[in-house]
Amino acid sequence: MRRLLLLIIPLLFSAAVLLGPAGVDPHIIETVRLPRALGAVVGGVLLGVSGLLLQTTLRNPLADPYVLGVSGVAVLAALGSYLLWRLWGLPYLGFLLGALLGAAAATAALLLLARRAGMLVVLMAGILLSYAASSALQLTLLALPPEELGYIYVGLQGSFAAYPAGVWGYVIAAAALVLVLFVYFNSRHVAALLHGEEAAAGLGVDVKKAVIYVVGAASAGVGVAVASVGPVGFVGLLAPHMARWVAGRQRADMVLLETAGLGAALALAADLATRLLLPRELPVNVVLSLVGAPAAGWLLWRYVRKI
Amino acid sequence: MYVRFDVVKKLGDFALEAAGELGEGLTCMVGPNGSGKTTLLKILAGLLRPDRGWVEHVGVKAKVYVGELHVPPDAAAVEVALAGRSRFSPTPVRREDVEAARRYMRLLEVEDLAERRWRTLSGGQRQRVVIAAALAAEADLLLLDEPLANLHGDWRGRVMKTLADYATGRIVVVTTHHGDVLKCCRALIALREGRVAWRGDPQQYAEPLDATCG
Repeated sequence: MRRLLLLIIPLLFSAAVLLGPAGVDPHIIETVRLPRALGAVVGGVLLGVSGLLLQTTLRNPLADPYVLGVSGVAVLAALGSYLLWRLWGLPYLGFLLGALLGAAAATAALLLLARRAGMLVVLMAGILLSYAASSALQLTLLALPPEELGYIYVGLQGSFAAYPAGVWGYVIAAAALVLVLFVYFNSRHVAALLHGEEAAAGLGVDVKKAVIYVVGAASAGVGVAVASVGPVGFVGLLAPHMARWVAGRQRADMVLLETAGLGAALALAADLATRLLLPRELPVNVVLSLVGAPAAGWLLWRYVRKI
Repeated sequence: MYVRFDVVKKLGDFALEAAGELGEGLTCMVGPNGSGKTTLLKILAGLLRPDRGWVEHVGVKAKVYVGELHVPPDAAAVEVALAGRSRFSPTPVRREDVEAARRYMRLLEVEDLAERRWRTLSGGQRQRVVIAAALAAEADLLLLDEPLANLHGDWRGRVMKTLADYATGRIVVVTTHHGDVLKCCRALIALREGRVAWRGDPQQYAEPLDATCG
């Protein structure tokens, strides 16, 4: 499967860069399509890996940064921080820091809740958190002058088109790669958390360290994804499940690379579909929810049938 | 290599006050439900901190405690056995880890189930996979909580024999309710209401353990 992914991702990437109403125009490719395709790869990888981390540590097959409100809180905190840092003339740095901080706070809160409550309670809390964050976001937008709304609004919707072109785009891609490597080199301990924190500790894993790594990596993943492409949904839910399905394995360390690859492929495919298949472009979340919601429903059905 | 302890731990109304020594070989820990077996094992593993007292591990480099493991229903059996390899490195499991996991699965006669999904295994098969995981950890202090749960007559004896062989050069402690397997143990600790009621050679332990008919 890894070999197949090595074939599929470049194919989808080339399609994303070369296809479009403007044809093969070097200027359009450089300023519009390349950053957007890179955004899909980076966003897909980060959200897929974050989803895998959350599903493993929460022991919840339905965990996803978008569904659980981690992305929502990250966007809200990013916008709040954007407004604050605008006062010092550094709004985008503020946006990134806010996204990271918001994602970390939401992830830590969910992990703490998961120690005391069951899977469905955590899920409900996450969904409520996501609604609350969404309303608060709309209210916060009122604080922004209308002429500034245009650019930032694309990012707040969740769109790979919001990914920065030029050097910043490559810096973010490099950061994503470092994050995936960090997770990879700690993934055996993360995988042990699947059996429960006490069981992992009994097996000789430094659980405190592993949990801090997970919260750090998952929130860095979601934070950077939200700061660069906004709250894109369902990749974090679907990519790990697709990876487990194709690899026939459940352990996080045995499906991590497949999850990253399938996250990128899924994001590229969804973005191509929104760009090329629909008569008018819609937010990428529309296509992802179209696939993601029934898949989540199926996972929930499988879970409910067991209890 | 040995472990010595003298600990006090209060949990609600219950108080554990136990002292003793564990040497190499297989030690069995018996006692009725609520007598403090699990609590003592967790204290010896370092998972619980005693309120007072001390635990001294001499010559013990790695200690592992295996009780209940959560397992997703779709996990393959070999993935569960691989959990035992968690302590060796933080990087993804390698071929040698898979080989070790399979080797211990073979020892417990569950290697042919390696690719079977967890939800398709019986309670006894799952239990043996979990024991394989515990052995795959290759720790010099292994604490096993109720490894004979879900196992029936014949298998109880075979698992205990496997554990006794494995315990050469290691300290292995198991808790159990089954009196019929104590012959396999080198030493025995009987707990009652949080205190060590008896310890020594299991051959001399006269008290009936499994008085199940009334």
